[in-house]
Amino acid sequence: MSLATVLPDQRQTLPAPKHIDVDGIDTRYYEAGQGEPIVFIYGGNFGSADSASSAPVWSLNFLPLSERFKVLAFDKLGQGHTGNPKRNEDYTMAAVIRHAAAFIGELKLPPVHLVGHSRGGFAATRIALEYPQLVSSLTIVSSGTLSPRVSTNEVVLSKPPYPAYSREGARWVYEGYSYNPKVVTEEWIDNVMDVFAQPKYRVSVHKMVQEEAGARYFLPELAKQKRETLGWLREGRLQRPTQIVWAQNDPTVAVEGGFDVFDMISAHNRRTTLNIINHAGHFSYREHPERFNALLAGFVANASA
Amino acid sequence: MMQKTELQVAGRRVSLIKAGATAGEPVVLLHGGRAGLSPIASGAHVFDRVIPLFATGRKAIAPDLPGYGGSDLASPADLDVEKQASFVLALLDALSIDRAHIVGHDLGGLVALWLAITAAKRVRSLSIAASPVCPPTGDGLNDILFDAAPSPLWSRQSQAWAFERVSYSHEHVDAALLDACEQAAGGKPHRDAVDVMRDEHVRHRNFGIGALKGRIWESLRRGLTAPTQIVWASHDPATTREAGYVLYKVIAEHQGAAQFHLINRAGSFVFREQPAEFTRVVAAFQDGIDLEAAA
Repeated sequence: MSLATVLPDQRQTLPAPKHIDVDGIDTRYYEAGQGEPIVFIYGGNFGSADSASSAPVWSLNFLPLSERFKVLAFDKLGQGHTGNPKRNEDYTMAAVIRHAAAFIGELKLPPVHLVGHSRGGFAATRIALEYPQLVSSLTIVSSGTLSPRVSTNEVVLSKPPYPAYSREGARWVYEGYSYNPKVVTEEWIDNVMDVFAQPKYRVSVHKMVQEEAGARYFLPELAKQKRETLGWLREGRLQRPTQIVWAQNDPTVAVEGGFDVFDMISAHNRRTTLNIINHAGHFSYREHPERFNALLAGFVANASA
Repeated sequence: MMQKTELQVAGRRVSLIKAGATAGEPVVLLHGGRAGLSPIASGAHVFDRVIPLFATGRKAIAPDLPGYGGSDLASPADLDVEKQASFVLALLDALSIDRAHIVGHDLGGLVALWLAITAAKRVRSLSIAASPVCPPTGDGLNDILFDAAPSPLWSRQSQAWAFERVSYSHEHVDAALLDACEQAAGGKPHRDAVDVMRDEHVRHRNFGIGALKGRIWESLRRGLTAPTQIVWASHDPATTREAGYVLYKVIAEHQGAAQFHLINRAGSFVFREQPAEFTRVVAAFQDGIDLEAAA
């Protein structure tokens, strides 16, 4: 069980990113290590001028875990450095999930261990439901999107007191998500600024906000998918080992939501655990990487044993 | 390989199970039970499914606490939680263990918690597993779990009945467990514990739990030094998950490195019903604490 090989000093610069064509979408991803494949899916969605996740948000987990596993982190459709949806009506969670599943399929790997955070936790769960042959286990991290409770993102993070696309604005958002604002490093914000700097990202923001793809496509479709997904979970359609990782001090996701997700899944699925981490906000895997990595490594090892 | 050994601690015979020879701080597993009162003759043997799993990562040690299994009971007072914690400390000394990751189940969870409060430097991390006696109880309901234990008490059949009462499924109540429990029931420490419990005053001491709890809350209001995880079971007939979560929140108030875990399809003997899930969650916490210290 020891993770002596997963040392924190293994944190360094990520390897050079790779690119792959996924159904005509140029998709950027990082890959390292050998062994059971772990695929990380970060949160957020396209079209925010205040924050922008991309694959390097997993930097504190990616390299330490690459000592034991094949780790992959990719940019979702329209996010990070992956191309935008080709059609306006593809500014949806369904299209993001189709793209993510197609990406995993393109890699021609054995079934993967999915780790999804926030909106990515919803996407990972949908992939486990719709494409079970691609998935060997599921880790859901602080996913208000999957929880049947009210998320309070808008209360905490609406209208940053800084200009759109600014370093200060992004820092304000991620500090607002965190228990300890000191975990929001310059490296983290550098990656956000890299995303903001791309013309294609500004196009996605324009589509979502000015052209109202958010209100017309993304949110209504997500609401329908969410109802369907909660129903599927309650019916026992999720049939893979699942661990739920929740944070005690997330200003946007209620602790109780972790219990709700546990109840829906554990009713049908023996290998289900709920794990709550104290002194952690929305990004528990960045606030407590050593304990998060140890938890994930043990889960993946057990799920593939 | 699990190995059962005996040694002398403070002039008393102590029995323990150990496994694994890896360097580094060991994990010490403290069993639960109520010596002489519970219909289960408890001891280190209840951990037989997880000791080999823990031992793949670090040395694992599970002692019989005084009055259980093969560990002598010198006086009725030795059954008090406080004295049991002193015994664990003396055992660590005897084994030249400076510091250990402590895991306690049921009443052993309270022993572990008191040890973490009174001997903080010896406890690298604390894991409290399915321990109904640790959380605040308020005006709780009376405990009827074992009200109708079949006679004769501590027979194989009676013990199997008791395990089922506190389990999600009876599947883990296997021959190896019942053999070990029968053997424990036939041993002198258990018979001595049954004898001392005939005394009403000893019974009413209730292992010193009532007197200790106030001191525990007083200490927890100041904070616990050891990183602590609370590991609860989804279907534990002996406690509620709210109780475990409240205990976690009390500790998390002052201890940043605190975690709460809920393991599915398990009752009180969560480490028997879901041994792989239990071990990975506990070992990950211990490994993570070690890695944080190295960072």
